[in-house]
Amino acid sequence: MFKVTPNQKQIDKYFTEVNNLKIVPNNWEQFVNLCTIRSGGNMVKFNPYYYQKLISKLMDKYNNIVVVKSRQLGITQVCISKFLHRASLNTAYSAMCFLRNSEDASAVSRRARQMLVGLNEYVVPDSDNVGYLKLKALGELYFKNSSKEGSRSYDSVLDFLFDEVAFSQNMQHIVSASSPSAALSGKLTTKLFISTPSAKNGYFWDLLNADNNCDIEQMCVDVSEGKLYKDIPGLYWFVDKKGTVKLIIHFLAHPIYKQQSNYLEYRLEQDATDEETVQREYNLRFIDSSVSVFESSLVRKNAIGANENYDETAQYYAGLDTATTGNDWTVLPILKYQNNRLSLVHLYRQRKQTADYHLYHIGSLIKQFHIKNIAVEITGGVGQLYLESLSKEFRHINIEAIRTTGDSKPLMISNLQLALEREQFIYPSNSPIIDELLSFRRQGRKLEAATGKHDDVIMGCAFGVTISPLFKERKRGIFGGIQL
Amino acid sequence: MNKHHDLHRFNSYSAIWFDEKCYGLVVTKSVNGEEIYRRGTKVVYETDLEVVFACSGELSEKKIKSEVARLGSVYRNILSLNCNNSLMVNTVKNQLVRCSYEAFDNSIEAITKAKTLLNDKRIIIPQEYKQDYQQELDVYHPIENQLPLISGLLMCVLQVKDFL
Repeated sequence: MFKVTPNQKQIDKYFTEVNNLKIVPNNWEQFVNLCTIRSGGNMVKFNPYYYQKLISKLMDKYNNIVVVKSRQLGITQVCISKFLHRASLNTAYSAMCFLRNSEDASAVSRRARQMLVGLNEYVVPDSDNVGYLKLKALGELYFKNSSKEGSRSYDSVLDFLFDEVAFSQNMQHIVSASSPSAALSGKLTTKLFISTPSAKNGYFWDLLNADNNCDIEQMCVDVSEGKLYKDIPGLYWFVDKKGTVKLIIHFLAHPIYKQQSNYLEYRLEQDATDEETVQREYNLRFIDSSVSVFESSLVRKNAIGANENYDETAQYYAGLDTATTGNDWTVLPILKYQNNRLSLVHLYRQRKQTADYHLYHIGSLIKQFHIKNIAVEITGGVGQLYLESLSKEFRHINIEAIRTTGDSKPLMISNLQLALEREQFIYPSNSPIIDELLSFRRQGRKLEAATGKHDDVIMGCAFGVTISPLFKERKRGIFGGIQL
Repeated sequence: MNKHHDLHRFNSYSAIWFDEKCYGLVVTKSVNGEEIYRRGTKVVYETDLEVVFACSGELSEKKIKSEVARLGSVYRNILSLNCNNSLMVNTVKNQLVRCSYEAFDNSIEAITKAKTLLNDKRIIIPQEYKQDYQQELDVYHPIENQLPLISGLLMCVLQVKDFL
């Protein structure tokens, strides 16, 4: 190990350029006026709009900001410019920007460098790296895609930008992995969560709805219709119970777009896309092409159960959804049937284990809960092995083979849905089934979990519900009970 | 016939359903809706659906042709007729100007929607069809016992985009 000590000549050479620079304005607006950005096919000086100035002010005052916005409003640009300004004033400054994918990360990084062109008399970039922008003798910005595991091993990050949160599956993990790197920064940290609307579930939706006293979806509609605004139409913000700013920005707040009376129709033609996409991307509507099968209110209404031990006055049913050693789960929900109601009282859910391991644990549960009826899914072949093993070991119980097909799956799901509607199927509020129910959707003619999500617990429960007395004796008359 | 003259006021939906044995033909119209013009585009939010015509019978091409032809002359304002059988669509098409083929799979979406609407009494079934519908409702099953009038109604319900 040897150490190279730089000589004075090298040190002087490095700092000569820095020492000749002008002093960066303390005011953000003055700073961005010096930046050059691409706008409307021209290179222009960055002259922020009202809502962009507001974001800068909110970033100075609040630590957490959740922004739901229309497309093409220059929100990312404002955040980057704010980070650049802070980096230009503080040697120890470090900001982390998580963009949707690596293409977005490099595009935003290039935009940041483009802004620096107009600032060449004030700051000089000290790196050519696309993912890392260091200002000479000053702060730094990281541009990362959202597929990696956050910002572990980075030291004291002050600001975070999480872009297109609703469209990144890993964002929740990234946020939790990244937050510790700002632990020492305390109140100096700003975290921005930005996205256009997507479906009414997932991390961004939860974030947007957390700690509110109001219906955020309705607020978005009111803002888009000009009924609700602060200062200018198309702009509304409030601080929730935990001090997080919820900011809604519609294209009506943009001085150029708002002049166009039929902007949405224009976008429809320009983007050559469907109305649903335009409504979602530009008009703040939370809609998704794939349709949610289970209503969120229904799912939450039935989350009133609890994990329980064996109760000899009840009957127990179970559904087994098997998996191999891949990413899918092997699931055995134990359903307690009492007073014409099923409750999920125990859930066996394991993955990446051998069949012997699963069979041992399933066997223990069958004995523990004195289960008399089990439905085993045999489509795909793996379930058949479980069926045979369990049949050999437990001769006294009724094991029913279930095939999941294009016809039977909708029927089983519809049974589950009916049970939920009638409040005949309950589960604990921390059960993984809740997340699965919320992300279970109809995509075209298929019923399946959203990308990156699972439906094993749903299917396990659906098998259990199918063999339970709730539906076993009522094979006909799905509209039963309706009197015209 | 005059009682149906306002079919054009809100949307009307019609459907013809087939299986290997029989057919069901249902015409519905939306009532108590609300027309909203938003940025120049008409958006119709509907609240109730009324069955204005329903018939079913054994599968006979001649019978179906005559029923559809009658339908075409009486309900001139029908927007479209959805048919769940791609082979029969040509037979039906000749009797009616607008006819489209739509696969129908007894989806949960349609059943759930229809159940909610029926429970809320938002599907209005005239007295003349009530008995037939009630009989089918009591025994309808999406896989084991599909029935023509309910299936036709479900196909109509599926076409409704914006219920209030």
